[in-house]
Amino acid sequence: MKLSELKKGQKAIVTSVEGTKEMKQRLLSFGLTKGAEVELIDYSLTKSNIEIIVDTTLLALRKEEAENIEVEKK
Amino acid sequence: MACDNCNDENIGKRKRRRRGQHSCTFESKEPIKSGLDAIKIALAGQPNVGKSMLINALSGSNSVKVGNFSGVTVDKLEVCFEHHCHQFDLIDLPGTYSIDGFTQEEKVAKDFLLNEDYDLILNVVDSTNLQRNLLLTLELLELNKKMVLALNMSDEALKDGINIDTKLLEKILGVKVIKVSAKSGEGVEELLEILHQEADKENREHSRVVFSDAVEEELIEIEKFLNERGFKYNSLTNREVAIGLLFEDEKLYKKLHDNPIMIELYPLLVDAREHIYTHHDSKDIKEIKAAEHTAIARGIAKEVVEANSKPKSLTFTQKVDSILMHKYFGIPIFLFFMWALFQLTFEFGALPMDYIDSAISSFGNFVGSFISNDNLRSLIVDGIIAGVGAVLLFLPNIIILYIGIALLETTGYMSRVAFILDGFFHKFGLHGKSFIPLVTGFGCTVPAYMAARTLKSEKDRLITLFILGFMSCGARLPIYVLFTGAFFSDKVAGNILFLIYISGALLGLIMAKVLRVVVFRGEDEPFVMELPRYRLPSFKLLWHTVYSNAAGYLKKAGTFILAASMLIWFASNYPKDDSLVKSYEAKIEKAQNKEVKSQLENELNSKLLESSYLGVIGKSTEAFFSPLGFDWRLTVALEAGLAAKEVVVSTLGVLYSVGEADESSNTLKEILKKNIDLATALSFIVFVMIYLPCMAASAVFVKEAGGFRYLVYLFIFTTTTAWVLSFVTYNVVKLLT
Repeated sequence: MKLSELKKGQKAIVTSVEGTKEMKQRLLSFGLTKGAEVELIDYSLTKSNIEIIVDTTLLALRKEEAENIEVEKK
Repeated sequence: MACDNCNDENIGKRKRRRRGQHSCTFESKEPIKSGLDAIKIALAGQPNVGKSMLINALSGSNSVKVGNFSGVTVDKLEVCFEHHCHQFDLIDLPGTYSIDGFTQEEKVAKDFLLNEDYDLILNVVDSTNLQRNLLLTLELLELNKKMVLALNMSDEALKDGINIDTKLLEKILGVKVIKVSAKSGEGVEELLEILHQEADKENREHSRVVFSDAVEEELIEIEKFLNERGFKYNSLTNREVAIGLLFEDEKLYKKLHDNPIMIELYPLLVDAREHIYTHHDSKDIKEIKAAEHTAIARGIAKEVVEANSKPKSLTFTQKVDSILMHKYFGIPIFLFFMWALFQLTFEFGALPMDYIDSAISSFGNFVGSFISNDNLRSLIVDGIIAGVGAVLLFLPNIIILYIGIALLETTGYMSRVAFILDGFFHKFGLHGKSFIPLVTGFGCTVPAYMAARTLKSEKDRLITLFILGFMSCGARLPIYVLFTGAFFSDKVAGNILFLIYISGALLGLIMAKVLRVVVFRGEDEPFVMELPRYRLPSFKLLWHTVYSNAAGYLKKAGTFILAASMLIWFASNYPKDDSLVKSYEAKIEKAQNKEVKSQLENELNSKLLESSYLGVIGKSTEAFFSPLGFDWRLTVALEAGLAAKEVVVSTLGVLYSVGEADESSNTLKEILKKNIDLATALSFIVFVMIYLPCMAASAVFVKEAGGFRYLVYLFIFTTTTAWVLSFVTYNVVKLLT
């Protein structure tokens, strides 16, 4: 499933990261790679953005970016 | 390698202030500068790790701006100081999550680290976030430079129940590791000692980081081959060369390109790559390296960090976020904060205003009573004191505004707002991150233009640059306070002020959409942003930010505004039409009663003003502005405002005090109220809100946008918008009142 499909409070393991080179690089530099554990903290009002936690870092993403990240529910 | 920013006098002062008792033999005599090379240190780290604050602590000076969101240090910054007779030259690089960054500021850091000459890297990491910070550390290690790792915020980590085994970390990484806290000063002295020692060392330590089995296998293979051939490249070990070759270090390839050994190496490298590709199920070597680094960082963190479950500061941050970033309340809370800020700006700023105002006018009268020469008195009282005084009056407002913005910047709230607003901003063709330069723009447009560099997409950046001027800067505040104060009661003036700023911001959004649709079409930048933990800025830091801004404002009042006031005074007093003066003086003498006398005096004064240089300039352009309700005085003030917005108020101060013969109304506010109507005032506010920012900002705009032609576009864009909207405002208000 996609990271954008997680529900609030659900934890998951990243299985793959797709997207443009820049996008991947950016996500990688936050430690968002295969095997990383993520938790979805919350959605924004219009669900256009999501807030996740990777390791001990809080990250904000747009839905479009989160769609590039495949995860497996824990 | 000498450091130009250091001057001898400063070194002496700093040394005495910070370490009065240490035993420099030439302490009070010749400055230390002579004959000594500075240790040049590149300060690198991810955003929000307290790098700038650490520089403050290291140098003991207060010359660096610090903030809790990415983008405070937009260009590299150099700080020099002396410690135990050694000169340090610190280069503060912008925070980067990775060396291969894409934003402009990340490129600044990369260019410096790869191409400049320096003695060692000081890598600053956030102890409470070690794993992610290590990703950059691992990249830095591969640059094969001398390096020291500073575990910053160690006091916070301790509170969070995090304990880091520095000895073990040193062993794994092969570089010196030290715990510091920029906030409390803990470990700072020791860090300086270590930097000193490391810089003096002949040889560099070599990294002992271990990759995954598959990669290690290949590295050993390549290393073995190099050893067998007796290969040696500069100061690099053959393992370091192997790492560089395997992971496509472009610089190394360029250097080795012509080396005969490469012929034999190529097949070896191709095989090695193939092996790693299959192992990682990917053909992107950069991605593979990042994955390796992530695994290593995770492993290291597991080994050296001892922590009880979730850090307290993270739990706290998430708790606060559940309110401030609430789905429904988030935006209202943000708007409330902004509203409160402008209320405070007006309410508290107004408290000392009357005192300052009367102090300035009685100071003017006092000084005036000592000067017998009419012209000189007029220059000093009506020119300098009235002009500079009009600007000084607003210092309290400026201070409050800056405190508010500094709080927004340093606590980490700004990134939250970027998150909350991104959905909304995105609809207008802006990026959530644009919010950061936009809020900075409420303080001053110059740093705001530079802060726009955090935006990676060129189009996002240009749109943001174009609409930044609509965020009214601190220097426009006095104009608003003056006009709202004159035409509205104190109760509503704060709200009107808020309304002015909000409508400026909304107008900016609309214009962004227009620009996005009409001019800058295309792909937009992805939104991936760290939400740093909440941190209360130290009082010292807050004080420093506010103090330096207020000092800057005062300095401007004492120099630029002073000169401008004198110029405006001169241009409004000369040329003097003697025949006109004589004919009126004769009339005044003949006048029977006081009323007629003062009426004649007024007539004379305004006629004189009209025939002055300024009057001529104003009159010649008045036609352009008269549909907006501006007389030539307001016209001149606006034109002078192109230089700096503070000049608008000082110009009005000079123009109206020269032309004013009535002694009973001394304050500019009252004079304005008598001379112009509400429609004109509102129309004037609208124009000021929109038209081109000051000369300094325009110069920075040219640099950031990348060409003078953009300034021409900006001038046409803002002036047209300002004119049209002022015209509408003037006529609508006229109809209603």
